[in-house]
Amino acid sequence: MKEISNPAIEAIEAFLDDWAGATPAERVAKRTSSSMEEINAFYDSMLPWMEEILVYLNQYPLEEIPDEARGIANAALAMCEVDNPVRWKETELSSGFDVRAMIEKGSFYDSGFHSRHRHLLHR
Amino acid sequence: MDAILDAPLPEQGTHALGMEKIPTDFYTSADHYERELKHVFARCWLLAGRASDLAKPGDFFTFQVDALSTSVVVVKGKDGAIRAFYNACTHRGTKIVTEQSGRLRGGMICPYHGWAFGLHGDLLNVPDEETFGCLDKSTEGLRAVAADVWGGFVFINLDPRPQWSLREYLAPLSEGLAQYVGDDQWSWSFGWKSEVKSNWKSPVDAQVEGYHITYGHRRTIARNVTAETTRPYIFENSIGVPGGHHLFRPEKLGVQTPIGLLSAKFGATSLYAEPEREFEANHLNVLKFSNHPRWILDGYLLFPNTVLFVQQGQIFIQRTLPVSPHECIWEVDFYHSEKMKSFGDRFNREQGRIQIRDVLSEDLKIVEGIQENLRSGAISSMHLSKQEVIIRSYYHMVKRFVGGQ
Repeated sequence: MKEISNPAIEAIEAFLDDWAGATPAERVAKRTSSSMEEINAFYDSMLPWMEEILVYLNQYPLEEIPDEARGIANAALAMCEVDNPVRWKETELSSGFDVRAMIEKGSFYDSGFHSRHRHLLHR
Repeated sequence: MDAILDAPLPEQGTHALGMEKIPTDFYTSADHYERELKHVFARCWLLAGRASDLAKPGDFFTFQVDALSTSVVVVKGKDGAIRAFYNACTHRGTKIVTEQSGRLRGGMICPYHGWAFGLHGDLLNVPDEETFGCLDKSTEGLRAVAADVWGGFVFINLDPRPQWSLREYLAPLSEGLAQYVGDDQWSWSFGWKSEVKSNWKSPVDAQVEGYHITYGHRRTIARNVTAETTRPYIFENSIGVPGGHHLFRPEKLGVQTPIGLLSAKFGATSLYAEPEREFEANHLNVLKFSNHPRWILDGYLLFPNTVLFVQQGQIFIQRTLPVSPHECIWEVDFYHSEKMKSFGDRFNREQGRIQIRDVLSEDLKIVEGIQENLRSGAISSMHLSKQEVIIRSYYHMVKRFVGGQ
């Protein structure tokens, strides 16, 4: 198969430093600390390229995505994070609980809270 | 299959259990809460883990009920049996296992003084045993807790003599459902936990009625799941399953975002877009409506604190545990049948993960607001529609357990 080239044109590359957080928590933090203008600028620049980006990334097995494509992969995942805010026209859902207080579990058994650590929760 | 495609959706709930109002002290009374701890959490089967996580002898996980100050360790024996014990050394009560899960090598050794217990709970060795005088090791094994498996999930029961077997407790659930969720295709993918300022039953209520979807989730699910397409039913004579519901897509989907549509090309983990590719999942056909073109998922309330959702390629489980009448620990866990192979799979899963996260965040905000209002005394009773019949069935079940009805 002919290799499909990285569609990361300049318009997208400018966003990668800020928006290509490697973890869900980083992407949430970026979204919630950004203005709607910043979110819309990222979304509007990425959206026309999304189909091409997915085709490009899909040519690799998931575990073999090359390092140089990681940024664009994370930015594509950040599009899932900003999809709703763009629709809501607000960075955080005012009808929702703070999603940063929904702590990512590490396993099914990663339950509960040690009372001594409760103050560390983002509430 | 064609018969089911043409079949009308089932009834939208029932008033079979009556129409009386629910007193709000069900959610606020300290006395009622104490009775729930004693008569519900200390007597019912509680979903604690997954049997496939206990693949080899020595594999264990722990399960904690803070409100009962109870830690349980569940471990696979050399004979292949799964056993549960209070996580308490019979010497002076030290917690023996401090990890959430893992594999024990050489039995369970108390970290305080080194008392050693076998995987079957028997006390094998006491350092400097002669200094105790007359210690009969044969009577000092770990205190057993009842454990059993249904649908691949391990349940424990803190009642020293459970009144019902797990099978009797979950009786209305079909063998087919047990086969579907019990298949070894499922692997844990992600989950969240939070401390929520609501009674432990309120997040359960939010997951067993569809009435709130159209309005409460108007900014997330939009018109892709609606009150109209949620179909609840009850198990009137069940011991531990108040009811369940089927969720269908409306005939015409609402707004799909471009990202949602892209995600839909790769799978079905988002509830809110019609998938172009469906996930492979063994035994899916055992679910009554799985062939229906608009079927999304089936939900089941496993008394007292667990809601099990099953769909094509995805299972998710919400559990709550009480902290006080006004606070609970809430957690949700997702299992998937397929491994992610491509970035498209990853993208689909992330999109579905974020969509359901935002929907759940709306439920959590609502239940916290309800608790505040109930505590204030602003209202003293609640109304339930046909569509909320599972909540009524659940209410009756709690009342049966605590002896209030």
